[in-house]
Amino acid sequence: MEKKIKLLVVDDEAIVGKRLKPSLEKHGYEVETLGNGRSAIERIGKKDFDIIITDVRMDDVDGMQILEHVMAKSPRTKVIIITGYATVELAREALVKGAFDFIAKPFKPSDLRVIIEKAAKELKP
Amino acid sequence: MQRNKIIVVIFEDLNIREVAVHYAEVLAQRINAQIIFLLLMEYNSDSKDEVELLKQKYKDIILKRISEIIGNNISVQAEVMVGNRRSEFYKFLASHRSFHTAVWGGDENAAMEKTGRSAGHWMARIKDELSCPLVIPKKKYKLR
Repeated sequence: MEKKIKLLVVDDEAIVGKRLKPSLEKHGYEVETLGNGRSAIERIGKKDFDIIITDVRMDDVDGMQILEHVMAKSPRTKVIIITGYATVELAREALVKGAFDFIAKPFKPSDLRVIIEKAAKELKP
Repeated sequence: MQRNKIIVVIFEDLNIREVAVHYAEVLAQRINAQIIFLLLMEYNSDSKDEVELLKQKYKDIILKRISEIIGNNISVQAEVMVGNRRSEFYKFLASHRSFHTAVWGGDENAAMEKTGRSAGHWMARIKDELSCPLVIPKKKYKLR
């Protein structure tokens, strides 16, 4: 049996995780959702995720800090940045810091799913 | 001669608006700039090979069409980006140095309106963030 891809969704808007989780699980991913950056950093310390989808603007630890943390700890992990406050500078920073992709809210679930599938393909040896 | 200035002409589909192409051509001649014709298209595929093939095919179509419209004394390039248009445009801007001018080659009204039918258009929401002017050429412009 093929190993499930482990995915973490970090967004302080609970609705994002709530909506994404069932739809991604339906596509065969193992999905965890967290509502803040600090919990995400703790969880990433305990478990290796294949793909992390994170919002940028969050209290305490933001998405860019999560990206930096993941790139230092596990460069094979694909980080997808989502944000409702997209700017060119933010896109540049995300890509320079090693994000797999950058997507501005609002987006269609299929836009994100295609990016996740691309990331999943790149994980395969 | 080296051309440091870049004009980007943005399309949403292969309906190449000649007025936008001519505007960019005249401006490029005037300021000695090169032009990048950028097609932002929504297409869902997780196959990198398929997307690359599609991008190449569309680049060829754009360059052929452009060569039918403008002279060959201007340096032109075509780029195709596939995915959520607004996000792809952010990434395009993030991966290039600044542009002299952006020329909108899509629907004339779409990029203008912040209220009404086109209020939700991605370009209407993003244009104020551009670090260069966004020109939406109308059929009656007088540059020549």
